[in-house]
Amino acid sequence: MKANIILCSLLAVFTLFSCQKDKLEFDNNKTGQLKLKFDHIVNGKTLVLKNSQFSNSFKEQYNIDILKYYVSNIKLTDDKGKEFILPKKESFFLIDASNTESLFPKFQIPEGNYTKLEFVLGVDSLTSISPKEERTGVLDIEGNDMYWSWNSGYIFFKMEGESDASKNANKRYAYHIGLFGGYDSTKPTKNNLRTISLDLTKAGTATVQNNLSSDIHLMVDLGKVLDGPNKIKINEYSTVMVSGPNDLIADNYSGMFTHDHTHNFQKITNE
Amino acid sequence: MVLGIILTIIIACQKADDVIDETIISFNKPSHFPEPVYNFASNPVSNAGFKLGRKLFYDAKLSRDNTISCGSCHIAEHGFTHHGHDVSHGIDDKVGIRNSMPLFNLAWSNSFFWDGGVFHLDLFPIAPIENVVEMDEKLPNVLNKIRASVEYKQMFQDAFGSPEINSTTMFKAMSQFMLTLVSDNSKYDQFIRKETTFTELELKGYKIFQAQCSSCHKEPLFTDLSFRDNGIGGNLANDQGRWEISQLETDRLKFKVPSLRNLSATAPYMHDGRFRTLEAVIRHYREEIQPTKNLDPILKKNMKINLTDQEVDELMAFLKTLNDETFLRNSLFQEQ
Repeated sequence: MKANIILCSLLAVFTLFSCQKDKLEFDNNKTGQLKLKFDHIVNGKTLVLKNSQFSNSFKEQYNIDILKYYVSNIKLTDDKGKEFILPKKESFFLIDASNTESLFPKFQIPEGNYTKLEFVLGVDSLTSISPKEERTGVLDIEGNDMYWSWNSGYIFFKMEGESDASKNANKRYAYHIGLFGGYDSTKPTKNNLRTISLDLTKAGTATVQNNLSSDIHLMVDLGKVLDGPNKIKINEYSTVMVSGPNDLIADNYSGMFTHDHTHNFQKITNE
Repeated sequence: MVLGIILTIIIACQKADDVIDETIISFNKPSHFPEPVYNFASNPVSNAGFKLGRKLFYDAKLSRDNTISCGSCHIAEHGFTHHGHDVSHGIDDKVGIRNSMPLFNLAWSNSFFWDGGVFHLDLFPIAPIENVVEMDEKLPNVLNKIRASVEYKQMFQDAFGSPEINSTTMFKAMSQFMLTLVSDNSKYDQFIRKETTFTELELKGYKIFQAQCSSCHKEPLFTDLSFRDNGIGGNLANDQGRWEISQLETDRLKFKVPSLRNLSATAPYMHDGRFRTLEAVIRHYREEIQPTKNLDPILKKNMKINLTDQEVDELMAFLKTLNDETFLRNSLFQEQ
């Protein structure tokens, strides 16, 4: 009897699911909203700028008071293997932990069931050498504090804060990671651009529908910056910019994103 | 050449501003120069753009305390260098670690600074503006200062058809000014154009130059624009040159090959201005080359450039033919 009930309900659930699937017909000419939510944590603890203390594997204590990074060249792949690349001009976002609005980039993409999300952490090399007049919005070289003027290029990722372990007199540490490979293709230099690829099937495919929003919720664990495959000691590397193990830090932070869950069919609110 | 003619008129008239409206400022490729690398279609040079660029170049508002302009360290009659200073002092008398580079023939340059860290002229001005030992100002502040000026509004209107002032139009105007700084009327240029002849001494010096120097100081720009280690060794500032940009071990102590044009006006020499005289530079190449790791292969072969005293005299005579008085004295390029 019990088994029957379970079987029945399973059947019901199955039917329900298949029904729902059948009902959804995607119109390629229609678009819906996709929203990415960047939720910052450090080793499982919520990031509160300046006010929360964290520690790395060397037991060095630190806080974070500046956190900014570029997310660009967003690409989504649907369950049929079809790729959608966000038009280049709309594809640059500056995630800034001190600016709540920046944590939820949203854009329109064609209807569909999307199973894979990819983006570049940084500013791709073509954009990095683009003419001055094309550098608008978050790519403006003035005011965003994410540009090296003396070594023309964007800072892809910036994390700063205080740590007693820091060698610097003011007890601050600073990690400014950039370098796109240089403007001379015959003599490439260091390239710290990293592509992040996230499978959405396990924690929830993004179903994009006209007039609705699909919200992909990402957890961004900044503890990985110091404790990824490479272990970074603040006391040894208190400032890393153009020199130092910037590539190791880039490798570390490329693994800091996980897909937590997706909310589909969300009403679009004016937030 | 055309510029040269314009200049003559202007010099005759003394006050440049009186004639600028009748003179059409334009960029003209000298006949014996290669094609410029700057894309002029993206920023055509106009009288209004040139005037605006020149005003910005000489405006101390670009610095935090309104004391330092571009022209403070780039003085026109010294080939736009900070003549007499090994390294330049900027705001609050802070000193940098590099000798201020001459500014001319920039339309042919594919990288800027001794280390080539900036790759487009339109992206250049933000670097000295925001450098804490140069102008130490933030670009948004500079723009606000400029926007407060009625005169600037009119000048931006004239140059770009809109009174709106942003960093793109600001930098483009500055590029227009800097692009017109063409040095193409030295005795050497006149010789190449067959307008004059060299003395016997100069001719001999030219042959020595072609045999011993021109592989790096390539005619007619007198630089091949590459980065090389010429064996002068490191300095107290531990400046690693191109390495600071590329982080490639093979780039340590490599610096941009500077042009030899207007040498007499641009002392001291090298990236840190360590050689106060041309004689000291020649002495380096004859006797003092250091066996650094990335020493240029051309110098590594003999560890010196072989020159007799007689040949040095001849070479010096030739090098003087690279001084371009028309360029250095052009009042159009000076602060008005």
